[in-house]
Amino acid sequence: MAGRLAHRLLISLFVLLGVLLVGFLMLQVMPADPAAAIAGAQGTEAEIEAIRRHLGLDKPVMVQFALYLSRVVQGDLGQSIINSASVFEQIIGAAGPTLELMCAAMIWSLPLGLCLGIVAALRRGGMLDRVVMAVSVMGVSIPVFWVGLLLVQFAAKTRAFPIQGRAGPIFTPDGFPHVILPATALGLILLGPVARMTRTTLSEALNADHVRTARAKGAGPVRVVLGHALRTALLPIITLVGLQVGSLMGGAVVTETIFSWPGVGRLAVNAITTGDYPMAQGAILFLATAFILVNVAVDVLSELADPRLRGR
Amino acid sequence: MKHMPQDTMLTTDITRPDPLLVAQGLTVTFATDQGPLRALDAVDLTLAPGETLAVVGESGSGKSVLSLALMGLLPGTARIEADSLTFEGRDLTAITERDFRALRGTGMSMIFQEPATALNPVRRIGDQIVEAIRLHEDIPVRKARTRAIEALAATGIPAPAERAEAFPHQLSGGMRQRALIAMALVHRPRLLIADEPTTALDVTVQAQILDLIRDLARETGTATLFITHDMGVVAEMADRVAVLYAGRLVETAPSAALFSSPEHPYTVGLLGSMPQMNARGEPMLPIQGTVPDPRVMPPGCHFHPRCPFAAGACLTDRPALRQVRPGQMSACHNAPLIETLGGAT
Amino acid sequence: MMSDMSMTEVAAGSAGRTWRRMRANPTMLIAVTVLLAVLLFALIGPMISPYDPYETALRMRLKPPSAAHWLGTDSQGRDLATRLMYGARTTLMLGLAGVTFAALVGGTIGLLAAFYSRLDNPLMRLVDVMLSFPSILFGLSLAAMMGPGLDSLILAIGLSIMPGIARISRGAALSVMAQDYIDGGRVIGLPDRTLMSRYLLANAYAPILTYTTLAFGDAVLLAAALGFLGLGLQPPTAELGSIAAEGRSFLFIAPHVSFAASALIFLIVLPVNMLGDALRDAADRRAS
Repeated sequence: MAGRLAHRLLISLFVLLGVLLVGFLMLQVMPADPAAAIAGAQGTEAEIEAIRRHLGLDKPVMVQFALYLSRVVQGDLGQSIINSASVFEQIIGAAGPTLELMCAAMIWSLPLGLCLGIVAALRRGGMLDRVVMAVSVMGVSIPVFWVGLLLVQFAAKTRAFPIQGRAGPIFTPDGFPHVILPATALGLILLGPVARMTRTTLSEALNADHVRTARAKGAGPVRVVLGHALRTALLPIITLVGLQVGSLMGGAVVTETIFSWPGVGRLAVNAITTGDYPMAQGAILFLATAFILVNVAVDVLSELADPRLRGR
Repeated sequence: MKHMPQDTMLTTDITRPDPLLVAQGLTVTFATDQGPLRALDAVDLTLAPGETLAVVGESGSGKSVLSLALMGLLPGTARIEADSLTFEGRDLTAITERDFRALRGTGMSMIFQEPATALNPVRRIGDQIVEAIRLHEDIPVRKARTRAIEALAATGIPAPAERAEAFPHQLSGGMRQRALIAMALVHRPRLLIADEPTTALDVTVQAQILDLIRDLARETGTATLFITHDMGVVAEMADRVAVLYAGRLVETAPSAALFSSPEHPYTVGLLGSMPQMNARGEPMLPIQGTVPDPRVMPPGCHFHPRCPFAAGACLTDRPALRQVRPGQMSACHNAPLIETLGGAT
Repeated sequence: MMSDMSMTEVAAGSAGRTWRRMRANPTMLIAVTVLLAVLLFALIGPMISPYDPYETALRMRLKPPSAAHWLGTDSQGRDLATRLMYGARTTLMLGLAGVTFAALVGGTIGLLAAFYSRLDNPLMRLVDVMLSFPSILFGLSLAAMMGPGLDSLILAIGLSIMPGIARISRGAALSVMAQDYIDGGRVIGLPDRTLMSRYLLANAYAPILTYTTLAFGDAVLLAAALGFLGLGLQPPTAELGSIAAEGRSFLFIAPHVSFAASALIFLIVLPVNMLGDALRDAADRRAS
C-alpha cells in the first residue's frame, strides 16, 4: 500500500508542479509590464526598476520560475493590478465561502443521490428505476446556469429566499437563507452522477457471491442491502464521488457568479474578464491545488477504509 | 403416528425415518427477454436425514438452480412450481419469506463454489460467523465470538482465534472454504447444500475439504446435497446419486449401483470421461456435442442428439423415469442398457 | 476502471446494430428526433430567417413575442429567434471543433501509446492526470493566458475531452494490435506510419468515433458555461451561453431570453447523453 500511495503522491506532486508552471506562464503573458503595473501610475523609473529587481524580472526565465516557486511557497501570490490588494489575502477570504457553498451543496445531494441510487438498484428495470435514471440524465444535461436563473426567477417571484450575496457564515440565522439557492443549484450537479454510480455499483454488489452467502445465512433484506451489498459498494462510490469534485468546482464557478457568492470561482472569473493577471493566477492556482489535495485525500481515505488494500 | 391408517403403516419402512426433503415435479422457469426459459423440468428428489445425495451434471444442467431453489434464493425472475416441495414436512412453496429466512442457516445451509468471493471482503471472518450466529440466536456478541472460534477450530483451522480477526483476502482458498463450512454448520443444520465446494481449490486441498465436510456432516447428523460435475467426488462422498441433464433427472441410483452398472447413456458418458475408470478397459463412450440450448430443446429424449443408442422412440417420445432395478431409476427407452449393449455386439 | 470498460464496450457497438436497437427503443427515437430538429433549426434557420442577428434596433428592445418576431426581441432589439438560430449554430460548431481537436490529439496519443509500448507509460500517465482534472480549470487558465475567445475556448474543450478519447483509442488499438495482420504487415516490411494509419486506425476507428460523438454533449456544456461566464466568444457574436448571460440582466423584465437560450442548450445536450445512456445499458446487458 505504501508503494502505491507514494506513487500517487509523487504523481500529484508533478501535477502540482505543472499547475505552478501554468500559473507562472499566466504572469509571463501579461501584456503590461508587471513591475510598472505594481508601481502604479505614479511610479518613478527607479521604483519600477527596484520592483523589477525584487521580482527577478532581469534574470533568466528558469531563475524567474524558481523565484516564483519560492514566493508561492511563502504565500506571496503577488498583488492585484486593479486594486493592489494582496492576492493571497483575497483568496483566503474567498476560500471560506466557496468551501461553505460546496459543503452545503453536498450535504443534501450526496445522501439524496445515494438513496435514489439504492432505490434504482433495488428496482432495476422497474418504474422507479426509469424515473431516477431519467432525472439523472436530465441533471447532467442541464446547464448549471439555467438551474440558477430559474431559481433566481422563482425566488424573486415568491420572495422566499435571498438571491444575492452572502450574509455571514451559513450556520448563522442570517447567513443560512442566502446559501439555500446556490446550494440547491450546485447540488443538482452531483445528484445525477451520484445516483447513477450508486445504482451501478450497488446492483453489481447485490449480485456478488458474498451477498448470496449472507442470504443463505438467513439475513433479512435490510441487512443484506445495507450491511453487505452497500457496505462493499460504498468504497468505489466514494472514489467515484471524489472524481466528481472537478465538476462540482466547475459548477461552483458558475453558481457563485449567478448568486454573487463571494467565492474563489467568482474571483477568478472577475479577474480574468478585467485582465487582473496576478489575481487570476492566484485563484486558478488555488482551485487546482485544492482539487489535487482533495483527490489525494480521497485516495488515502479509500486505501485506509479498504481492508484489501490496507493489508498489503 | 398413532392415528395413521393401517395401509400406510404397512408400506412405510420402519427402518427409514421420515424423509428430510421431498421434491416432486420441481420445475423452475426464468422469465427472460426472449421468453420463458425452463431451467428445471419436473425433478423428483428425496433426501433422508443424514444421507448424502450427489447431484451430478455438466454446467447448464440446472444443478445450481436446483440448489438455489431449495434454499429459496432464486432471483425474482424465477418461478418455482412443484407438486410437492417439503422440508421436514413443511411446504416450502407456501412458506412466508420470514419463515424461510428463519430456516436458512438453521434448518438448511449452503456452501459455495468460490470461497474467494463467497465471503464479504470488507468484514472480518469472525464477524461474519458471529453475524450468522446472532441472526438466529439472541446471545451476546462475546458468547457468539467464542462459539465462532470454536466452529473455526472444529474445521481444523490452526490458530482459530487469530484467523477470526483476519479478512478473507488474508487466508488461503482452503482456509476460506473451511471458514465458510464453519459458518454454514454453526447452527447444526439438518441439510447442507454444497455447490461444487472443491472446484475452485487446489487438488491437494480438495481431498481435505471433502473429508472435512463428510466428517462434520456425520458428526452433526447433517444430510448433504452435494452438487458436482466430478464423478471422482461422487464416488468418494455419495450414498446416492441423481444425474441431471438439461434440467431433467435422467438417472438416480445408489452410488455403488451407479458406478457398477449405469443405466443411462449420459451417465455412462460421464463415467467415461473419468480417466481412472477407462483404465479398467471398459468401453469408453465420450459424450459428443454440448448441452442443448434450453430455448431450443430437441424433441423426444433431450439427450438423443448426443446418444450413441438413439433410435426410434428416442427421437419422438420423452422417456419417463422408471425403475430398472430396486433403488435405481433411469429415464432411457433403452434401459436396462446391458440388453442394448448385448444386442449391439 | 469499470466505467472505462463499459465505455469501451459501448464504443465497440457497430453502427448497424445501433440503428436496429434504436428503432426498437422509443427513448432513442425521441432523442434522435429532438437532435435532428435542433440541427435543422441551427443549420436551416439562419438561411431562411429574414432578420440580421447583429443589426441593433433600439426602439424594438425587449418586445414580447409577436407575429413578426415569434420569440420577441432581445435587449438590443434584435429578433431573438434569429439570434438563437445563429447562436445554436455557433454553439454546435464550437462543440464540433472542440471534439474534432480532441479526437485528433487524443486519437494520436492513444494510437502511439498502443503502437510503441515504451511510450505507453509516460503518455497514459499524462492522460490519467488530465482525465480527472476539472474542465472548468482548463477553461479558466486558457482564458487567462490567451484572453477569452475562440482559440482558448476550443483548446479548453479539446483538452478536457482529449484524455477520455486517448484512453478509448489506446484500448481499441491494443485489441487490434493483438491481431495477426499487424504482425503480417510488419513481416512484409510496411513502415510504422502505414501500419498505424492503414491497419491500426482503419480497424480501431469505430469506438473512437462513438466515444467522440458521445463527448459532444460535454463539449457543448463547457462551451456554454464559459460563454455564460464571459470567458468564451465575446459579444456581439451570437452564442447560446452568452445570449443566456445577456438575458440575465433583464431576467425580471424579459425572462424568456435566458430561458430560450438555456433550453436550447439543454435540447442539444440531453439527446446526446440519452443516446450515450442507451448504448451503455445495451453494453451492460450484453456483458451480463
